[in-house]
Amino acid sequence: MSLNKLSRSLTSKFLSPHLYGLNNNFKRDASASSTDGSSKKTPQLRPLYLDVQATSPIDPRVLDAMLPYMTSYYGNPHSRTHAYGWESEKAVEESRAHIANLIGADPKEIVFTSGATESNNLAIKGVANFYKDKRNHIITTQIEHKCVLDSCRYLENNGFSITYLPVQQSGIIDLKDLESAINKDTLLVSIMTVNNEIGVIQPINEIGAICRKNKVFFHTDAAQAVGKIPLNVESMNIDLMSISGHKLYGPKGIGALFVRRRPRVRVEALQSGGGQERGLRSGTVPTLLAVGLGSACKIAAQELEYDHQYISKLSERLVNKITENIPEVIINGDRERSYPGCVNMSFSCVEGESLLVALKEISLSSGSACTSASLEPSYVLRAIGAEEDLAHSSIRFGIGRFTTEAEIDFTVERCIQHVQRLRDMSPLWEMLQDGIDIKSIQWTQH
Amino acid sequence: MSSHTPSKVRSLYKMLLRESTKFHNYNFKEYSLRKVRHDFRKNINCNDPSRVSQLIGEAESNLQMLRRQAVIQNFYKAEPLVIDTRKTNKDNGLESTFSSS
Repeated sequence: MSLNKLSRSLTSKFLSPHLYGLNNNFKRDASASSTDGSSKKTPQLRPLYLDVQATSPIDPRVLDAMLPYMTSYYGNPHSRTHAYGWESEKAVEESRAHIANLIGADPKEIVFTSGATESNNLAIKGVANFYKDKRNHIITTQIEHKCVLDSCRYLENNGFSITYLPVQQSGIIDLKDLESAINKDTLLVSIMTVNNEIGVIQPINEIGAICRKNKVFFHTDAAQAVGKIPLNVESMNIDLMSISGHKLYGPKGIGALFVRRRPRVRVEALQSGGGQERGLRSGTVPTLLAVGLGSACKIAAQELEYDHQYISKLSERLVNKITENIPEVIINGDRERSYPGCVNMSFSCVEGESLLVALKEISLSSGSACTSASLEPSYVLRAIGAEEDLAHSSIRFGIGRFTTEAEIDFTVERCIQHVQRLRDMSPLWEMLQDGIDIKSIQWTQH
Repeated sequence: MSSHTPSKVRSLYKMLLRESTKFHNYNFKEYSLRKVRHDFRKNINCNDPSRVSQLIGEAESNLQMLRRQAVIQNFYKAEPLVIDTRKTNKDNGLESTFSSS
């Protein structure tokens, strides 16, 4: 308790300037060590990128498909009177078909949006607003992305009742909880497929079956899952699915929402305008971005198996090497039921933020990019029951299509080195080594 | 399968690998090399003529794509990765004068 207060007061008063100070020291250290007398002009080097859950690079094949629509073919896809419009419309429709094909849907069921956040907003608020006179209960989980939780909070203020399902220590919901939470007023269940912080995969098949049996709509935020694991909206009984472009090697600023047509799911649009996308999302569809998303989905459909195999191999290498070489490492979330490209680890007695600062040669994150500015421990880790100190010390490793074995080895090497160094400085680690239970210590109150 | 196909496939394979090495971006270069090798190895025993000509068609369009992308991506080079220079110190001289930043 008092430790908690202490850390909070530290955060507010001292930590940010202190952190900047630390940062500067590290920079000075780095420049001092890299010059080592020889020459002052060392080439600027770029850190490795191991944060593909935040965003992924655009695949060169995707860029190649987009470039014609950034140059010669600039027509408005909604122009019906000339060739410029027709060629753009054709490209948009082909993309729609690629997206639909990847998730086993019909192209008519795909609506282009600006990204998964908009898709989630449109799905949750759109369905809620359309059916608000009939039913007003929504079920979601405690580990959803901020945009789902915030949309639910907004609806809560507007007369809806929301159930936030807890998750087990594995990060997975208990299906019995879901079944008992459904009542006659339940309109929608919104549960993400792959968690963005710990990578756990929810039992979508089972959840879909429960929702269908109870005649409740099922929305899933699949931003981290589409193109990474096989998904089929038919066999999984999914009614609404959010897709993001830049999580599957496509461009930023585009996403899609799958809205089931049979049995029909009605959605009220969030914005008014020209009635594009069957009136669900007014505004000109950005042809080049739509083509980018379509091409990313086409590639993902071809390479899903190959990528998954490769990423699993790298992930195993990372986890094995780290757990073999560093004691007291906790892997957050059930590895057996996770997407291997997202590895979330806690190193006991090492502050996650300090480790991130130390590992400046590797671009990592302690959790979601949206909350990476905050020093509060992640709500996802709290939900899976991680201790406060371990929730503070988490690091997320994101492995993607373009990650190499050499990058993994480099990361492991640096991790071992810096975790060791930070632990050597830590009095808590010393106490832990002496067999003192840190939780039993009564910290004096200031 | 016509008699000149194996030599055509071999030369396509070599051209694809050569084009892949032109990526300045470490990750794209490594991926492209790995993918080209994997795809050729996977289909090495393919005997169905229509499938072979389909694969050759795909390889040809991929080669065009790689040619375009290697040029375009190299216009906007970033600094080399911390891991990259350890192997490729030799290409730091001339290329860095064309680097965008």
